[in-house]
Amino acid sequence: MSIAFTPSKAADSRQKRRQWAEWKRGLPVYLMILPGVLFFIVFKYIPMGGILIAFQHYDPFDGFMQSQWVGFDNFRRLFQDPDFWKIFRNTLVISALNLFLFFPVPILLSLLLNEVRLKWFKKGAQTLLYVPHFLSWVVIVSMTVLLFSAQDGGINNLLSTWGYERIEVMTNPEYFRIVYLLQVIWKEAGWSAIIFLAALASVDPTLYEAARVDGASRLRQIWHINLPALRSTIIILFILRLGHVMDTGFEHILLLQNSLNIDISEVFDTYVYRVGIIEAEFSYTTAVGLFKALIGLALVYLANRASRKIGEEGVY
Amino acid sequence: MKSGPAAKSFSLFDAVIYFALALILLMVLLPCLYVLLSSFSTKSEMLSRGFYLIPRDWTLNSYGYLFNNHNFTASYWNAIKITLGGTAISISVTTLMAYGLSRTWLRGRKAFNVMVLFTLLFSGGIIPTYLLTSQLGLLNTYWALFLNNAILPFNLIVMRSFFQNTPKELEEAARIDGCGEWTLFFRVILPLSLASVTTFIMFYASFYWNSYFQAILFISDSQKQPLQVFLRQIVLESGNSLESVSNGYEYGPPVQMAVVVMASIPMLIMYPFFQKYFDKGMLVGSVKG
Amino acid sequence: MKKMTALSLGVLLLSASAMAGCAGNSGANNQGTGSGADDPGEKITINLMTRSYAGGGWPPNHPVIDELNKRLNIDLKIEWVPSANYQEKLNVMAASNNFPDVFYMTNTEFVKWQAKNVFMDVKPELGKYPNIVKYIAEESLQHFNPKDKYYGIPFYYQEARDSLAIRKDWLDRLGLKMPETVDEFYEVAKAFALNDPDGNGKQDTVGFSMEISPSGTFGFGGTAAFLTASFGLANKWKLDESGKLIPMQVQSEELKDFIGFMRKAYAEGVLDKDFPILKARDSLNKLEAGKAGVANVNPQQLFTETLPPLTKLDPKAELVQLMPPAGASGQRGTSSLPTGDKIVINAKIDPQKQQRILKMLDYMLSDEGYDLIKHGIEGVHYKKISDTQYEQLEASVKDRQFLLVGWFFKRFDPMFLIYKWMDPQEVATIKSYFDNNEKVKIKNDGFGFVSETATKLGTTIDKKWMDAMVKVIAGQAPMETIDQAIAEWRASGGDAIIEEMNEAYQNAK
Repeated sequence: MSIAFTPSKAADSRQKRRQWAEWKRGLPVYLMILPGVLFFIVFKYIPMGGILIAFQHYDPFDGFMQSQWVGFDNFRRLFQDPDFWKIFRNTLVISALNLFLFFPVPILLSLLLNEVRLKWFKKGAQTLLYVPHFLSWVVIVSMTVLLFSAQDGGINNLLSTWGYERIEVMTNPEYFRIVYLLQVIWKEAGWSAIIFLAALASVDPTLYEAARVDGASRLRQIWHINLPALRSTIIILFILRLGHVMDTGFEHILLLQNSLNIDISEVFDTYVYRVGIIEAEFSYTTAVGLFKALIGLALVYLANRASRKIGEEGVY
Repeated sequence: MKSGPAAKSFSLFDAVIYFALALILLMVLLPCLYVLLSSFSTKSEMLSRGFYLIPRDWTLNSYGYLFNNHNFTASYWNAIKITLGGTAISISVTTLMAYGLSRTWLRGRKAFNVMVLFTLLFSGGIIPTYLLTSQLGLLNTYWALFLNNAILPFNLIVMRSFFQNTPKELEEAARIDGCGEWTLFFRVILPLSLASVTTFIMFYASFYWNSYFQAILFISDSQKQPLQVFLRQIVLESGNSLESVSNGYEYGPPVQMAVVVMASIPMLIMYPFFQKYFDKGMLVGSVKG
Repeated sequence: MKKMTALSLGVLLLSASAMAGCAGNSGANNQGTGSGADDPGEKITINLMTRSYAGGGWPPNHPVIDELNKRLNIDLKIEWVPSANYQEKLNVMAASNNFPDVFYMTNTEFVKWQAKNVFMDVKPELGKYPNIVKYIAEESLQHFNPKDKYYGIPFYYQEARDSLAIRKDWLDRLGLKMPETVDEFYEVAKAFALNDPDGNGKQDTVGFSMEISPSGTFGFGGTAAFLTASFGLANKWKLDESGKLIPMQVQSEELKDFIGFMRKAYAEGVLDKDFPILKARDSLNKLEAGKAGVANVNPQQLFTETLPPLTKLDPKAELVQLMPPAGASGQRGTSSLPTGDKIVINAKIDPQKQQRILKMLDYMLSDEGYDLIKHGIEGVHYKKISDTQYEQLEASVKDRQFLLVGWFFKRFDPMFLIYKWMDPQEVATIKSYFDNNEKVKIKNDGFGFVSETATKLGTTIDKKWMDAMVKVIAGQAPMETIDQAIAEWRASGGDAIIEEMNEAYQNAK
């Protein structure tokens, strides 16, 4: 804030009064955010010191202060792992699939649903589309196996009765990414569309009237009214997803992983699960987590700056 | 009244829309139907037939297994309690803070936003959280779950963005009328933002309904555990358990399906219930000129 | 940005110091000073924690708990933790220095923490508790413990529980006899896969299945577990002629034979093409579904889980125990899986409580106590018809009174899931399965010894090794990969593991 230099005292007290007025205006708002801020300080920032165990060889019995400090050893261990680049690449590819191939689907879905005029159809469709979100991955993967297993999967049986070769969907590494992506879309597109539907719900209906009067087709209306309405939501969600670029969630992938596709399917989260949980190496898993978060942070920072340039608010 | 475009006749465009959605619905629902119907199957049929829709042998065995298990009914009720309590607390705290931070003129706003964003990416891990919860005497209570999750940073950030997008004209009009911050919030902005608030009520409800790991960590009394703890054990364990050795009901894949069905029902009821608020958004206090 | 960095560092340091106040522990906080004598007149609260599985644990006022409370003058409180997350729970408890009084201890953590003075050494006390001594194998008490100390009482796993079983009706229909050698086994499996043994006109049956490292335990699982010994492969570790311990991972010649056999089976459609994705129990599921003719069964579940769905599908189905087929030099065997988990008593609680806990454990193994925790209460969970005949009652189904036996503590007795109300013929069949297994049991010579390198990276290099073997079996990598995988395993820590294991072995002699 620039301070104009005026020698007069009157200007100073005017300044003070202005600042006081601002604080006074802000007071109720500060009260509103107070519970939240307290929450963040107590439940998020106090425990955050735990990140430091990434620089230790943490032993639960020794506690934080007494555990041995090892500097960057844990990170060295990560980068020197012969599989590091493979894991990094796999994680990036899966994230890219999520970001560029999954992300648009709920948007399209919400646009489709928004065009439905029959209320009962719209309501019913919305509810039914998000049912898969509540099924656990175990159920979803086992259904996929039921359909596609090489030995006696339903689809494979059909193929073989029609005289075709059986396809080894679950074990052939080339199918892994596509199976993963389709499963994610099937499970999450409906639920993720809800947020976009909420954004679309706040579009002023008079805009559509005006557009129709101007002779715009439905498609044009979507392009000129709906999409701009979704714009800031899309950007915010996209930036937030970038922050999690190294997070793929492990349960789904763990279920799809097997010895034959392991070169494609090993990501940070499954790696950490095996080393960290099963072998209880807290320091190492925290170090890996820190590494992932830093990459996410860098991307969020860049994306946020970019979004500012196109006139959007950004995440901070 | 409803939102969305209002045209007069049924056009080709509409036909395409309905057709596409019907196709999508089919692909989405077929597997879900399998889950539902196979919960009425016998273990024998599920293991021997591949993918099927109509069971040849209908049975209520799986549901008998579940409803005769004390832990099932207890954990179901616990999950409801946790979801109601948690959602109420979280949505209140989150909405207030999201609104507050959406006021672009607020001093220190950027610092707060960064503070929130940081927690989205960085976290100390389960041990410090556990220690803190323990020190606060919250172990073995549901408050451990409510307070540790009072705000999910993702929800806060997106909700804040929704609040920032409410039209300024209405705000200005209200301010000219002499509205204070609280009145502005409750009387003007909130009614306009019902769609987004309901969205996040559902997101939080889904989050609490699915609590599993934190429940195991913080709650030692098995009578207080929520449904997912019970469910995951059933779904993940393929039969190394000793369950059916002297149990009257057969244990197997159909039971796993039944428990998934039972776990999904409350969530499925949720949306239609909240659906009407979605349409209320913009229409309160329309702007003319 | 600089201000942000400074600010964030400050926040981190502040929170770290706040955590330091909370975390960590300062040595013993309650090393009892009392004489340790237990006054049976005093009611003592005991906090017990153990793993739970599908179906969950008991509610607090369960009849068996009430009965134990009455008989031992205790107030028993049980915490049931889902087994999938048990280790994490143990770790946070360690971090907050807050363990229960008596609890189940998984092997990894037991080994890691025994030197930390948290588990009570029960060896000096055992003299007072005859049932524990009688019903717990001495050898097992010693496993994973330093010399002369018993930091816990072992949890019993049946060493050689599973067995192969085969569809005798399929053999008859195809005119085959029970296979005795691996080659005969191959031929039978091939016929099962290709010659429509269930006579339904469709080729929908599998030769045999296997699972890879089921439930995370390294090894060839499912039916394959009964073939490894036939090729001379060690049950994890074996002593070679020079008295040195060698692991299965480096048995090059034997591996080539075994993997070669599997590879051929896969290529010819004898081995289930789905084997890389099968999870624990899938082989058995296929048998129960009438899709496979041979699989590994759990005899305890034979009459309750396996035969019912099978006979429903095909009333003529007949399962017979199949002993592991003999290899080229006549070897065969069933891997034994001894137990490494322990039930431990908190070292830092009042000695009187410790004695009472030991008394409780001892009681649980006594004839009267074991009967209680296995069968429940007479008149409530079962009723007596005569001295040899009993009948299970409704309440038993609801109460699942056997959970302590199943999930916490039991005698070293393979018949622990055999209840007195079961059909004596079924009991006899089950017993014969177990007895036959005993005859061909193969020990893991390296069991009980710990290698530090193995604790650190054993799982990782084992997984890589196994992934390579699977690729060879599935025809996705050539046979030369086997030696490559062995070399890589050795180089990335395997050799260190072998050395450390042998050192531990020598030290214990």
